[in-house]
Amino acid sequence: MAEIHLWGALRPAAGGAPLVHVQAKTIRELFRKLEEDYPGMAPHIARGVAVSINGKIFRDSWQEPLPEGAEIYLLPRIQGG
Amino acid sequence: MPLDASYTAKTFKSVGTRPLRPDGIDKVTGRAKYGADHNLPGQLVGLVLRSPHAHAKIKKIDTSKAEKLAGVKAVMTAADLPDLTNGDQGMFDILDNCMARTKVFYDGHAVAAVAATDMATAKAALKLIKVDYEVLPHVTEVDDAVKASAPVLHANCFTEGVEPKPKKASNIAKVTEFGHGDVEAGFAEADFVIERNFKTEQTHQGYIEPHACVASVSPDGTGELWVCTQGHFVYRNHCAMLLGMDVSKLRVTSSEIGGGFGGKTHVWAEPVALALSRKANRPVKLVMTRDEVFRASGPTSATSIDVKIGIKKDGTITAGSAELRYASGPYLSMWAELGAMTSFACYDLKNVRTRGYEVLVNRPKSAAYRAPSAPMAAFAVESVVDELAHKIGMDALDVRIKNAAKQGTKSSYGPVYGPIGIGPTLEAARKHPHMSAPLGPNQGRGMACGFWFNFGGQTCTDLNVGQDGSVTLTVGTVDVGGSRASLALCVAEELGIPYSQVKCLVADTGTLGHNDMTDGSRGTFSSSMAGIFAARNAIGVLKERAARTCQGGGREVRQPRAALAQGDRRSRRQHWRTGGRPCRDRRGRCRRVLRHPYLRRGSRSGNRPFAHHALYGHPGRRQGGSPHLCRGPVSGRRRPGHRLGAERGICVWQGRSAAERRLPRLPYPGVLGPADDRYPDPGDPQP
Repeated sequence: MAEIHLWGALRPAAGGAPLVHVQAKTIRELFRKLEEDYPGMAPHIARGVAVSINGKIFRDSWQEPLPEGAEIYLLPRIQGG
Repeated sequence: MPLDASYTAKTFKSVGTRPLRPDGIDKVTGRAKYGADHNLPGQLVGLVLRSPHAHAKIKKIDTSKAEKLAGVKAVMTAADLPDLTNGDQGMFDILDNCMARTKVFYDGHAVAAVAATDMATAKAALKLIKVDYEVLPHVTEVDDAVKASAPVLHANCFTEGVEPKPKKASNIAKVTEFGHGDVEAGFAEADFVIERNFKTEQTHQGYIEPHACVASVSPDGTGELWVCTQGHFVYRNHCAMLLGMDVSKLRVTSSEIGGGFGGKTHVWAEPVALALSRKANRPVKLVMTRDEVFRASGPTSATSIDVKIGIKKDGTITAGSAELRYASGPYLSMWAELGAMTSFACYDLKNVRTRGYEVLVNRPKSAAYRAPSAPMAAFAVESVVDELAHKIGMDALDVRIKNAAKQGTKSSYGPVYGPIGIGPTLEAARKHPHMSAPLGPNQGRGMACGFWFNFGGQTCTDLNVGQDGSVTLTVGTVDVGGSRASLALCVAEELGIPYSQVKCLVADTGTLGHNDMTDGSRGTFSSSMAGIFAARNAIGVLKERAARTCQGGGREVRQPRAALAQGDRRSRRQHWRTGGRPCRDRRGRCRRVLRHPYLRRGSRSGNRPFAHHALYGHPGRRQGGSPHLCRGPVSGRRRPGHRLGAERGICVWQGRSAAERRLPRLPYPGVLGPADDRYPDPGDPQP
C-alpha cells in the first residue's frame, strides 16, 4: 500500500487529507485507482500530474514502478519557458 | 536509461570547445529564413481584426460587406473554428484565445480574420467587418481582480483547490498550497520577522521576431505550416486538434527563430491562418505586427506577493511563508502554482508554507517566460532575505549558505532532495573574485538565488552517415540558442570525428517522431542524449560490419573512433593491398579495415544504408538552484544619459548547480553582459 502525498490543489478531492493510501505498482495504476477512489482528482490528472518518487520527478513515464516504502508526492506537471 | 557512470569525469575533445555555429554565417549575412521569409505561389495576406475593448460580449459580427470586396478570398470568425476539443478545457481556452467566441477578454483579442490578395485589400476588408459589442466592466490589476467587487470574467469560474467549493464565481481560478511544519511556531521562535508585499509588472518576452506563419491547406485535407516556434510538433498537435485534422496530415516546418524565451510555446495565429487557407483554398501568410505581439500574445504574469520570513540572530531562518497572486490572463494556468513551488525551494526550512492564487484578469493569456513564475517569487523572497541579513548584521551570502538546501533536505514543495548544488555554488560565489573586487564610485554589489526544474521530455533523432563519412544529425527540437552546434559537438565526441564533419538539422514534423517543445531547458539536454544513443547504435553497426568484413568476431574489433575519418587514402590502400583480408595488430585485433568506406557505403556495396534512429524519453526531472552575483552602478544615482549596464565594469556571475551533469562543460559558470576582463571566469575558456 503506497503512501501518496498530495499537493494543495488535490487535497479537496480527498476530503482535505494531505496524503492517501493506494494499492498500486506503477504510476499508471496509481492514476487509475486515484480516479476511481477520488473522482475529483480526475480533471487534475487529465490536465497533467507529475509524480515524485524518492525525489526524482516523473512527468511522462507512466510505466515507472512505485517501490515499496518509497516517498511519493503528486506534483503539478511543470511547464517550461 | 540509468546514468552511465563510465561517462562521468571524462576528458572531452569536442564538447566544451567553441567552434563556429552552423547557423552563424547565414544569420549575419541575411540568408537565414525566419517565419516571415517563407512564401508560396499564390499566397494571400492574412490579417486579424482585434477587439478594442478589454471586456465585452460579442452580440453580432457582420462580415457580409468584407466578403463582397474584390480581392477578398476568405473571411472567418469563430464559426469557422468550431469547438472540437471534446471537453478538454485547456484546449478550449487555446481555441477561444485564438478567436473569441461569445466574449472578448482583453484589448487585442481576435474576433475575425480575412485573407486577401494584397495588404491594402486585407486592411480595407477589416474595416468593413462590423462587430456589435456590449461593453462590460473590466479588471486588469491582480489585486483588484481578487476583490469581491471585481467584475467576474467567467460566470462558471468557481475556485479550485479550496474546500468547500465556493458557490459564487470569482476571478480566483485556483488555489494551491505547499509546505510543511508549523510556520506560526517558527515565527514565534524568530528574533526578527519581516513581512513585505512585492508587486511585479506584466513583462513581455520581447522577442525580436514577431509571430509569423504561412499556412497551406489542400482540398484533399492535408496541410502544411511554416512557422517560427519553439516546438513545431506541439504546434502540429494543437492545430490539428483545433481544425479537426489528422495529425499525420499536417506537416509543420519550423523556421529560424528570432527569440522566443517561452513566448513561442503557444499557438496564436497559426490555427487562424490554417482556417483561412482551408476556406480560401490558397496559401495564407499571417505576420503579426509589433503592436499585435504586445496586445495579443502572451506576456508573463503580473504578480502581487506577500512574503514573511523569521530569522534568529545566528542567521537560522525559522519560518517562511508566502501568498502569491499571479495574473493568468483570462484563462486558468499554473503560474502561481510554479511560483509557490519555487519561492523557498533554495532553502532548508523546518517551517514553510506557500499558497498560490491563479487570478483571471482582462489581459492577454499569460505565457511562459524563462523559468516561468520563478523569478518573481525569487525577487520577493530574496529581497526579504537581504533585509533580514542586514537586520542581524550578517553577510547576506552567509545567511544563504547557512540555510541552503542540501541532499536530504525536505523541499518546500514536498519531496526530499537528492544531490542539489545550491550550497556549493554559493560557496563558489563567495570565493569568486567578483565578490571581493573593490567597488568603484557609485557602484554596488548584490546577489540572489533562484530555483528551477529541468525535464527531459520526449525526443526523437535520426543519424545518417554519408558515403564520405560525414554525418547528418536530424533533430526535432527547435534551435533557440545554438543547440545545433551543441548537438553536433556531442555526436562528434561520441563518434570520435571532427565537429566539422557533423551537420545538425532541425527536421519538419513529417520526418521524425514526436518531439516536445524546446522549453524547460530540455532542448540540448534531451536531443544530445538521443543523438548520443543514435551514435552508439551507429558504432555498433559499424563494428558488426567490420567484423563481417574481417571474418573475425565483433569482440576483436577495436572501438571504431576513426572509422569515419574522411579522406583516409592510406587505409583504403591498405585494404586493397590485403585484398579485404583482416588488418590486425600484434594482438590480432582489427586495426585499419574499419576506416574503409566500404563499411559505411549503402546499397552499392551490398550493405544496408547507414541510418540510425533514437527515441529518448528522459525518465525523470531534476532541479537546481542558481545564485547570481552582480556588481555595477547603483541605479539611483545615474548620470543623465547613462544607461545602466552599458559601461565596462558591470559583472554578472552565475553559478549553476546542475544536478544531472551529463555534459559537464555545457552548464559552465559564465560572465554575461559587458564583462570585466580583469576577472576572467575560471570556467570560461579563452577563444
